[in-house]
Amino acid sequence: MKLSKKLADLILSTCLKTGGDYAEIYYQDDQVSTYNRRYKKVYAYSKKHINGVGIRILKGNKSVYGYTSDLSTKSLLSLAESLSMGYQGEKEIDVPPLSVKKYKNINPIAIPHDQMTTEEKFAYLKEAEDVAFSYSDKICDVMASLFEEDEHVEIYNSTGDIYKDDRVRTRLALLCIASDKTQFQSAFDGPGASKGLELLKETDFKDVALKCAERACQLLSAIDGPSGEMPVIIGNGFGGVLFHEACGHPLEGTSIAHKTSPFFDKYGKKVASDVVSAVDDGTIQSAWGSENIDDEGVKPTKNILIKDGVLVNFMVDRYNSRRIPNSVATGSCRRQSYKYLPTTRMTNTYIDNGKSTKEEIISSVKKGIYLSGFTGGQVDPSTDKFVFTSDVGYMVEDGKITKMIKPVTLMGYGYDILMKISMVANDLKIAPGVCGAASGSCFVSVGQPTLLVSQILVGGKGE
Amino acid sequence: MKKIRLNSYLEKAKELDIKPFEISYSVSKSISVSVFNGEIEQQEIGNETALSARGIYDGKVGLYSVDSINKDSVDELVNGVFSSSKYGKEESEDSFFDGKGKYKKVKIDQKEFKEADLSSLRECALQICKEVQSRDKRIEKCEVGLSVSEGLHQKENSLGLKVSSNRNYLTGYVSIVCSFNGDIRSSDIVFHSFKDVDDLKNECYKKIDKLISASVDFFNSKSIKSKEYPVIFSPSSVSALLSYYVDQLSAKNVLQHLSVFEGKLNTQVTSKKLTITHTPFEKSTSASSYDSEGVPTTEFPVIKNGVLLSYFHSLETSKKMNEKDNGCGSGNGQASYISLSVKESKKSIEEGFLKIKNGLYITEISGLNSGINSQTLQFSLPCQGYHIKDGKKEEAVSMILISGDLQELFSNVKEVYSDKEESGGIFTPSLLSKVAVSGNN
Repeated sequence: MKLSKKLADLILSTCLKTGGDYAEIYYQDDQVSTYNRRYKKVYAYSKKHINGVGIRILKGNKSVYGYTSDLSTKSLLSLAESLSMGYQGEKEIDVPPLSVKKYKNINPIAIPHDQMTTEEKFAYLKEAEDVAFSYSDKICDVMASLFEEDEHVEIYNSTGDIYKDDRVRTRLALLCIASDKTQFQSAFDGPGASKGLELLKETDFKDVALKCAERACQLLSAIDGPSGEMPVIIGNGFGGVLFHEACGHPLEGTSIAHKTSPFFDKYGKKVASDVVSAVDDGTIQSAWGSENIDDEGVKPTKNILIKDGVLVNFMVDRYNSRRIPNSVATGSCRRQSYKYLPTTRMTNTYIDNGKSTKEEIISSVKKGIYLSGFTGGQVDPSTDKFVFTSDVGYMVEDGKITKMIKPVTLMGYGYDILMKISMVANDLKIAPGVCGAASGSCFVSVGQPTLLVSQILVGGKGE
Repeated sequence: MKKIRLNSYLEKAKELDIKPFEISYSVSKSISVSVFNGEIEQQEIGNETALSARGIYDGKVGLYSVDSINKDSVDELVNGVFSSSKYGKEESEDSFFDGKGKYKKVKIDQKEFKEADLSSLRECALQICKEVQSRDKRIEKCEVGLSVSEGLHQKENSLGLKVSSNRNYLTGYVSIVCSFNGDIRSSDIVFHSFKDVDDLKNECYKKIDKLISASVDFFNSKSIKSKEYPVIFSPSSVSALLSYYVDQLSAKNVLQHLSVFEGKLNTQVTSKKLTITHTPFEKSTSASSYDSEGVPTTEFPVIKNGVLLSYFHSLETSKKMNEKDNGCGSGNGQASYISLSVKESKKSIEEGFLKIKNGLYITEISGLNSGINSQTLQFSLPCQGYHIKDGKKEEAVSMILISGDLQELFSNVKEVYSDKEESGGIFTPSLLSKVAVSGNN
């Protein structure tokens, strides 16, 4: 335990002296290492130590938050004192004796980060880099990197709970750049998990490199993507960024509490076509977006958001549960670091399997596109207008995949597109990503089976 | 904010034979409030410190950073650099600067800055919220966030470099959601001040009309037919696109054969209408008298009448290319701009509209995080704006995507206008080019 119970109790009591009804201390001690090869040599090897405390006081629907990297008793008590001045009133509650709470570890670590030497890690990256360069002389640069995080978090709150959690994450990344002297093209992949170095053993990183190299070279001769509205087949895995942007963000607590989300009054109503069921599941063992407890100490849940097209739940943190009638925290409170006020965020969010097959979906499209890789997207949760961009795509003509196309962006309104999902396959796959929003950058998974959107606006340069 | 003594770090590094050794220290405190629909919702106090260091041992560079400073920090930081150097990138002393240079002051008078407390920020945010909501009944939601930040940055190294700078400013944003007959639109603005809360409020008030127009003008707006159009890009749109385009001007990318500008010095790379200057001293939140390597920043022409005159250099690239270091080092040998200025003309944007029979005026581009590739310079981006018909700015247009290649877009610039504004460290006027537009009409 990094803070003594006595000090934690004193900080919490100081927080509550002006009438706050809930106080919380978030302690973070995080070691991050990055190993990066580029230009056929070691490009960067760096270590970062993130260490600080965030303190939050709630009173009704109001929140006061502060953070500091000065962990001296004087500094922490001074911060608590300053934050308590955000309210005016008398002390209403006392902090009960603090005790450590137990929970299940859903992210077991088989091989800790110190079980391989730095030389071995760079050698692992180099093997993949060599494969990519040997694929073609058109490959002009390869960036192969390894990210390791060993994070220790402690949460103390005024209901007397102490939570301590160790969060270990590992991610590989590979970017290939190809050139034919007239243009550049790039391809990326980045497998990651809430695991230790077993990820390196489970991942065929050389194959990842080979496929990236192949894709980057193919893109050199890809044609311009089409423009206008058309049927679009969205591939499984990272295609789930569709739901993440179109519906996930507008179902987060803040948008619902502010009533700025188009879904705030749609509980129990039809919001998607019958073939759509969607889930935010923070309980998936070792997934990139899974945590044993969220940043308020609440256990994660398998939260079914949409069942057969009907909205059945939102994602909510403790603060927003005060503002959303009849809601309870769903284990979705997250933040990038102690420097960020926590709020509702997604964990591992996906559209569930349907009954069609990928082949049936492709053969049903006379003229459209099939997008199987994506770079990311963006949404305005208040209007639900979203975009997301492909990095791997093909024309679909007469039920067959034909020519490769250059990256295109899709745009639509989430509530409209959910109704236009006409077929969902049975090949669900989940992929890691990083989501940037109010409480900083959080590690999330997105996922879906292959699915068909009957009409969506495509921004290509071609006809 | 008071400077701290960094000698103990330099001495410890010397003991371990790390040379050169460089340490950067930053400290900041910030206070923020947010108001939603006239109610104070969140208040925040932040105290932040950070130490980062790099140094060479046995020909390789080690990197380490830490954000909590205590009695163990000297050992943790210097030992961290030492241990990581064993596996680091091969590097020479040339990538460290000795501090022998003339540092020019930025055009920000720090004496004008006045601290603000939570109480004054709360009052100001409530006033702004009330003012914004009073302007149009169709505004259903209004969120105002204000913050004041005071910061100090120090950088020293064993070769004699010793620089520091203060960064004190106030920033704010206003987001609105407007509704009319079931049509919902949103918009937001950001603003900043180097003075005080009243000045911040004035900066906000200057932009309120634009904020409201960016929502209410788009009620019942339609898309447009897919085809190539002449397009006038607003200053904020130009700034967004230009920031990706100039990314390729890093001399490091050129040396690695990863830049479209390789071999293009003193050749035409954009339309003759474009002249772009590196202006690190102009009044913006990114202004700085030294770069991330401690080298003095300089003002210099980047592109003149479409001809590329200079890349952005770091210590490493200027040595390798035998060029003068222009103070654009951004770390690890890479280089980037601090602030840019695009030369305006005397023509007003209204004169620009008059010359267009059927075109677009793009006022907002979004989706930049995924819709533009800084390596290939290809883009496919959502945007909104206005239809220009027979020389007049007409109805608002939304649900459109523009697609193309930034090299083509800036080569096709036919005109620049007089309405220069700053956005994200780039001072630019609107400009006229042509681009493929996808719509659903």
